[in-house]
Amino acid sequence: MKHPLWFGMLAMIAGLCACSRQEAPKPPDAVTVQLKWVHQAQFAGLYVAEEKGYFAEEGLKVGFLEGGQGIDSAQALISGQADFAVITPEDILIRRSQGAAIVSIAAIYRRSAVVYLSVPGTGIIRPSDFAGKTVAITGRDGAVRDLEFQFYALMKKLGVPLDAVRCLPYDPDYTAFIRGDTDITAAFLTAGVVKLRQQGYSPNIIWPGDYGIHFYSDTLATTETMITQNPDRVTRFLRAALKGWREAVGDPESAVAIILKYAILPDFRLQTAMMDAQIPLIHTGSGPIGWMEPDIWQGMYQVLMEQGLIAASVDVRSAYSMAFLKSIYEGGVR
Amino acid sequence: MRLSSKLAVLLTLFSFFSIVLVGYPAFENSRRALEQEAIHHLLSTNKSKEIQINRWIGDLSGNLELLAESPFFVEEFPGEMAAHDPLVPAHRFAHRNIIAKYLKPVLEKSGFSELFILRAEDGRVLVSTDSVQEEKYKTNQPFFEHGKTRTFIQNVYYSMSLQQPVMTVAVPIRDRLGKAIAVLAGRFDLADLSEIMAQRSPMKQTEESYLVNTFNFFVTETRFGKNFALKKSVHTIGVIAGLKGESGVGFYANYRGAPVIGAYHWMPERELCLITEIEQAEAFEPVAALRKFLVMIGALIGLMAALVGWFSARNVIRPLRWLVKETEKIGSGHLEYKIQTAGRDEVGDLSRSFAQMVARLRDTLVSRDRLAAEVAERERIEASLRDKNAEMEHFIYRVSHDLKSPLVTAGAFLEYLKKDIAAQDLERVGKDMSYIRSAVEKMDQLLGELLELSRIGRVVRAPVAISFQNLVGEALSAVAGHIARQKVDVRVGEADVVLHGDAFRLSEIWQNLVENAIKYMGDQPHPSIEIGAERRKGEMAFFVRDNGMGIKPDDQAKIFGLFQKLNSGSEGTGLGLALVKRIVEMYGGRVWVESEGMGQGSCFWFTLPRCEPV
Repeated sequence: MKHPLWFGMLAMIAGLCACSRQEAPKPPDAVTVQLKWVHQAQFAGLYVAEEKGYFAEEGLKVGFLEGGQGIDSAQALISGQADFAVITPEDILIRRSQGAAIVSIAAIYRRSAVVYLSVPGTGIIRPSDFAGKTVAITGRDGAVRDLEFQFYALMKKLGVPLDAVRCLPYDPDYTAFIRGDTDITAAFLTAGVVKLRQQGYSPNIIWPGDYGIHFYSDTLATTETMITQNPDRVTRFLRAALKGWREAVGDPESAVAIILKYAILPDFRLQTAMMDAQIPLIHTGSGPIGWMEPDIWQGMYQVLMEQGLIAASVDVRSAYSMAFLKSIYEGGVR
Repeated sequence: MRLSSKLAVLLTLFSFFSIVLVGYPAFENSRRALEQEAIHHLLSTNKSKEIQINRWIGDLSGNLELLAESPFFVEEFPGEMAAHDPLVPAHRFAHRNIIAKYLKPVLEKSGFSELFILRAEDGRVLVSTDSVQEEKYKTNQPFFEHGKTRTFIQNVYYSMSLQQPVMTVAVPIRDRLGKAIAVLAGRFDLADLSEIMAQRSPMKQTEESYLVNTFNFFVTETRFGKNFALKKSVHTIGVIAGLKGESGVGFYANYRGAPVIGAYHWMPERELCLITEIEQAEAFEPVAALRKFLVMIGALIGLMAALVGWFSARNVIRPLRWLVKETEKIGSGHLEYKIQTAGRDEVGDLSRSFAQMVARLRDTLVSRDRLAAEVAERERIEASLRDKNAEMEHFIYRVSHDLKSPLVTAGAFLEYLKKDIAAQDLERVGKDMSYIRSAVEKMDQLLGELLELSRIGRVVRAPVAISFQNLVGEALSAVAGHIARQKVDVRVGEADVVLHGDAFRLSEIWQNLVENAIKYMGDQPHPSIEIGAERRKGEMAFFVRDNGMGIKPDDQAKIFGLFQKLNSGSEGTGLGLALVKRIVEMYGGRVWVESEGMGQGSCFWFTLPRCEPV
């Protein structure tokens, strides 16, 4: 005699399912995201948003394009190959000055991951100590130029003449630095520093932000076309991505478990260290995740312009859009 | 279900019900009391933590304000700052002096981890108790921005300079004119804040307090996790409610998923949510013990009730079951079985009345049997009387008929005689006379035999002992003429039996049977008769066997009746075999005939139980 009840309930559930399906008959919008580098903890928030279905909840079907040596994130956006991209703000400003209509919609690394390292005991603890020292910062063939911009700005800000330092090419293996042949090397807090610490070194860290050089590192960007034609899609993408990031930084252990599914180096210790290193850059303790400040954009533009990297003057305010962040956070998502 | 199980279950249920009825309100009251106590405790803990935090912050800010307003910073510092030039030895001395004389003492006696002075102009760190931090720019920091005009406390945030979470208070340093020329800032030692949060009653095993910021991140370390500060977010019901600006108490799962009672409190001036939680398991541990106790007592009483129920039911049932067995014996027909009637209880009474009932039943059945026997006897007698009556009627009919026929014959020949005498025919007269005599003789024989028959049983001679051989010998000599005439070969067996009885009557049995055998020899060319006796089934049976015409099976019962002649043309009165039957029955015996049928000969058997020697 229990059966009729069961059947009734099943029928009701089936009915509900059918109803909810009828309410969302649209197939999800396919969007493509160009990552800045290879799959690793750096993109944790996006993985979490994908894995926990936040993109799906927003009616999006997200495809990731892996970055790497020789892959130009900005170009992928410009060419239309990707709808969204993880790009440095420097790239956005420089490309915009060259005429590319790309716009940052949120800063994921709200603090720059670029630092300069010295060996403890050498007395090099601040940029003013750099005079007369060798510094490994320059990018080969224009690659990893991000490490240079802030260095020159730092030197300028602190009044250290550039000819007082000897600039050498940046070596991602830090061989000369470890040997003591190079006094100072640039590094990313989330990569090089993690690597060196794993090898047992604890270098002095000189962070440009402490000396008034405030840069963002990773930002989420899209095209002006997308913003005008599909503002709703942009909002939905960003909302899901921010939710993913919020969850990733709020629960790094679970995030690492998800990262390991994507990472090309599925090394638990490495990805955990990377995750831990990037949390203070993403969630600073002041302001919500992704939030951007006009002063910082203006400062970055200033630095780039002074270094002669801006081809034609740009209205900085058009290089980033706060519209989406504002609408999302006003919508009650913290 | 057996009565004993039923009673056990019933008593257990009853005791369980009673325990629940009594125990549940007690349990519920204690639980509510504990809940109230726990809630009160958590709320007061939150209140006291808030006071401590505010006092801690207030004290530190106060110290900093006092320092900033001290004569040195108002009078001398502005001049020294204006002459800032690290390359000048006097400046380096003044720099060391500020740290050693003014900053370090405050740092040591209060809970700051770092004290530093920022130039109001550009936010540059001019002096710091941590020399590494000097020359950095804090231009963008809110504490610098606001610290230029008033005392400002910047909430816990992650410091890239220190690579750890920090909380900073800043106060303006003003010159004599009241112009803010610098900002004096201090880093709170968050270990102290964590210490405030960690203080708790040593009795509570799971109680903990922590702070959560508006981004849902832990601000202080938790008791059961490591490196949570600004590294881990928390979205429990309590935190969510607290961050909405509410203060209250809730029952929910905490960040570890453990069910807790949690008090949440929003501190608006700090923009922090203060949480104090205790695991429900611990808060309700005393009632859990009470519940355990109640359950144990309940189980014990239930068990006892079950046992008592079972045993008492067994005590009642055992005699009942015994009684059932006893009655089953009687039920299977043993009415004479005596039921034990010991015991003074109801079962004893029951068995006694049952025994009485059985006794009465037994009496009734005995008198019924007797009655039935009497009825059977009467019926038997009645039947025999009926037989005798029928026999008598038949006898009277036969006698009148058989007696009448010689009389008719005699009467007819008397008429002939009269005519023949008148006609003087002497020859015919002689013939008539012989017919008449023959009729008279016939009648005489008939009457004689009837007389004999009536005498049997009526006239009793004293019994004598006589051997079988003698009896047969007497019988054969009486019918010797017949035997000789018919040339019958008679053989007598060698039985050596002595009989007691009326020798005359006994001999008549054989005499009549031999006569009967000769009479119905038919056209047998070698007539023979065999006389003997043999022991059959414990009694002596006598036989007279012939090889004559035999008797049809249908007629074998009839032949012993009075005047029964199977062939009306045969000679004899029809009384011979009736006579044999009367004599045999007089001695308690039976007579029967065996014959395979017509032409097969006959064998007459009879027994004489009362004649046999005891």
